[in-house]
Amino acid sequence: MSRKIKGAALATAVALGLCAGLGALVACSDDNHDDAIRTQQDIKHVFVITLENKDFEESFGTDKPASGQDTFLKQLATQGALLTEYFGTGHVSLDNYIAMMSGQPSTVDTETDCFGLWSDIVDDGNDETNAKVLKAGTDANGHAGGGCVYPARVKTFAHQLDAQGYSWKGYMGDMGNDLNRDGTMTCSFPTRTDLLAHKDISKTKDLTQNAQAAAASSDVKEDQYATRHNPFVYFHSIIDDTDYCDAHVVPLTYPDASGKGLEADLKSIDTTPNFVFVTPNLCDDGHDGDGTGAAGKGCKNGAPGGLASIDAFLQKWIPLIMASPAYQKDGLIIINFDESNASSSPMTTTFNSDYSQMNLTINLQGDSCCKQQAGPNVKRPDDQVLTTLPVAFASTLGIDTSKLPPSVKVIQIGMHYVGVGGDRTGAVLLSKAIKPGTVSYTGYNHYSLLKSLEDIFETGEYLGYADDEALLPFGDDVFTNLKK
Amino acid sequence: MLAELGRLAFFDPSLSASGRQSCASCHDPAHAYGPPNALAVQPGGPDLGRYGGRAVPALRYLRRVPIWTHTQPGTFKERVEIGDNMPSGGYTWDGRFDRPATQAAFPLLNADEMANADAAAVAARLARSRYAARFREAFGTDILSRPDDALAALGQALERFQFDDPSFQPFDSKFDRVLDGKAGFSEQEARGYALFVDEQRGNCASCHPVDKGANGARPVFTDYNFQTLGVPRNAEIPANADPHYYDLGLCGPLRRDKRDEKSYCGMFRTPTLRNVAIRGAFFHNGRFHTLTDALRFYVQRDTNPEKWYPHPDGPQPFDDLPVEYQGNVDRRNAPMTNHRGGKPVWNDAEIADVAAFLGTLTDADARPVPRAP
Ligand code: HEC
Ligand code: HEC
Repeated sequence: MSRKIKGAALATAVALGLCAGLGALVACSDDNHDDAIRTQQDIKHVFVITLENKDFEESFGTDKPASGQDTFLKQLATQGALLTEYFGTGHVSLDNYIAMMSGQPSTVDTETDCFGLWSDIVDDGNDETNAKVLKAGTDANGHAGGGCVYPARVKTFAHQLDAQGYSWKGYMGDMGNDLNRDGTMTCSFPTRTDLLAHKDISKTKDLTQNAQAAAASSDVKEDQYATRHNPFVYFHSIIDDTDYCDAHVVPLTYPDASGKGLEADLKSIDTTPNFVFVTPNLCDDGHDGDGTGAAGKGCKNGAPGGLASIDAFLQKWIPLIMASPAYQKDGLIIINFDESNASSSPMTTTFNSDYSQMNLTINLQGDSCCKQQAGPNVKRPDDQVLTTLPVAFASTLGIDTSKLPPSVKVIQIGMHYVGVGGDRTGAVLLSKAIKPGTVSYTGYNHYSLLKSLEDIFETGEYLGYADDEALLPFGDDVFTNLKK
Repeated sequence: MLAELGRLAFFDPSLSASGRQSCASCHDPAHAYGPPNALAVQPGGPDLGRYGGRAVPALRYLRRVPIWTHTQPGTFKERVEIGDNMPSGGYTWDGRFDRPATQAAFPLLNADEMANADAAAVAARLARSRYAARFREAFGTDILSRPDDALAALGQALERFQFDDPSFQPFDSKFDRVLDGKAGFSEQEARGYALFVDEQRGNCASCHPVDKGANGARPVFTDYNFQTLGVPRNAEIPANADPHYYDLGLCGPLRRDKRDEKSYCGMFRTPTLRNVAIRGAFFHNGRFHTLTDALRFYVQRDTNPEKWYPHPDGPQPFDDLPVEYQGNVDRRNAPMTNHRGGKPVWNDAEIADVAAFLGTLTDADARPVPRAP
């Protein structure tokens, strides 16, 4: 086995015990000229892994409290391309996932994760300034520009792949672990689950917002699947055909004894979809927990969560993907984050006149790139009151109550949306078409990701805001090792 | 068989210091494995002259109790968004045990209950029991000479009994028959059910869910979450004679690992409401002795605080919580969102309707306890 990888990179790969899984594979396949990647379009297998809520400085920097938790991810960044100017397109989670897979911007409900509801988006025609963007009408909850699930005429990247004859699957961590909670093992979404439970679906709520812990009797299974991190089930064009959806939106690892899942699908090129979208569970994607491992600060399964659990997840799956024949032949791995953790801008506090109420405002900077537009459904800047809590709850949210005037009884928490983006998160791309150590300073976001995927798979059309002249797809700054 | 050993131990009074108290003395199978009387707290100790500090829960329908967790999203915004993400799970009122196997040592060693001095005392009693040979057969011939292991093994057997014996989950109440389409609610029960689930006028089902799971799991009328309801202090509990003593549930003093978490003070785990109508003592401190009073408390806590609390206008309106934790009391979830002088969401007739509905949750074999004298 010849190793061409350069000194420093090799040393770190060896230090990580990854030579076979990582450095060696990247290097060795370099020699295999039959599978040379000459253009982006020679890439036939793309693996997107989307993680949750981390600032660039946490994931890839050195000076944040959590910066030390993801040594593996930081090493991976040196093995391929680090996109330092990759931005989320919204806050909170859901709108980011939808942007990646359809190019559609936020609705007032997707920007709050469709928390506590599950309504259809009412088709109010197309946005006047961009005919590819759907304008959301007033939904069943009376939310103007609201709603969660797109009408059937809105198509996604999945449909573009179908049209080109490419295969795809969304692999969802923990989906179907507990069928009483998720309803189905494949293609799980709230109204489907409620129908199985014989519930009135006009009142359906997404009950997978919080992870679930296991019971000692094993009657209740640990289940950290979150519908709001599964973009595919927000489109009637996918969920209305349940057979189609069941075949494509599947558990990362089947919870039954079938042995099915991504690991099995990676075994041969035939079984590896051309496009793989991986949503880890709420712990593995860093959503829950703070990664410190401190008691009571972790996930439902006791793991530390945060960047520490992200790193453990990647340490398991990246070598598996890299060892797969499909990846070795013509693969590309994209690791991104949905949005930042919105920690960068300070919160502002004011008090009412008798100091009984503190108004705490979370400033969502919402930095964006690439002239991202807000779209027709939400406005920027915007203010929303989230909740009013007794002061005693402040400490569970991490607010230091000892510094508050003793007269404060309640805390009103609001959000001030400044910009439309999801802040700078960075992303990592791995492929033999990318030289280790590549660093890009070009501005990218989830719409650029979609545009790039559409370029790679030659879909012939750009969906939603991916169809924006100002938006660059990943270019030669990223694919630094194309064989001429 | 482990479950059979567990059954023998569960009904064995010789495992207690008094020689007169078994698990079943407090958890009586005739009353859904709940207390046999309407006392707020049960007697126990070496001569059954002492009293515990909490009402005895029924042991039916506890297979679905999740391990104790309080998981928070890593980002502040999502923590706030998911603001009703309460601590949940764990056995007992404060969730301090993740499984019955570890819980069992508590009553065996607690001075107010079965009052064994230590694991060695339990092992010695096991050695004298009529199932000692079977115990050795199941766990090894030397098990009883290893007291800590013997205590743990006993816990395992008791757990298997509680998990496996069908008498712990009969699911044969009228409500279950209604669920299966084999019976119908009376008019009054139907009215009560409607009020129970009505988000505006009861909202009980938000914490005591009534729906089947998507895979057919029958509802057990609890989400296992913790809440501070501000149940009034109960002078019937001997420990409450000390004005400085407060049972703060999740933050202690019985539970020790969460003492620093101020927002946890006053929180208790939501109990199942199956078989609630046969009880004679309600809430963690057994403060109420009729179901009607328990329900009236819910709907009139805020409208008529003078009915429940001695000093509703003082600095400590909720009298079973120290002043500094008054803010922990749930005022966010209906029906606990009312205000002084407001109209209670239910009148007396409606309370009777809901009580009638809760009566449908009584298992076929479960008998009501004798009323308090
Ligand atoms: C003296 C009365 C008494 C005796 C005897 C007793 N218990 Fe209990 N039991 C209680 C009380 C009171 C609680 C609530 C404890 C708490 O919240 O701290 C309880 C709680 C429990 C729970 C948790 C129920 C829940 O809802 O989470 C289990 C399980 C249990 N007991 C099993 C047993 C077993 C097994 C034994 C015999 C080894 C036993 N008990 C003996 C009074 C008793
Ligand atoms: C916010 C959650 C919540 C809501 C809403 C709620 N409960 Fe409860 N329920 C609890 C908790 C927690 C306890 C135990 C509290 C304690 O003992 O301190 C409890 C206890 C009870 C008990 C006593 C059970 C026993 O075994 O002692 C009854 C009865 C009851 N609830 C009925 C209702 C009814 C009826 C409603 C609607 C009016 C309702 N609950 C609404 C959380 C809730």
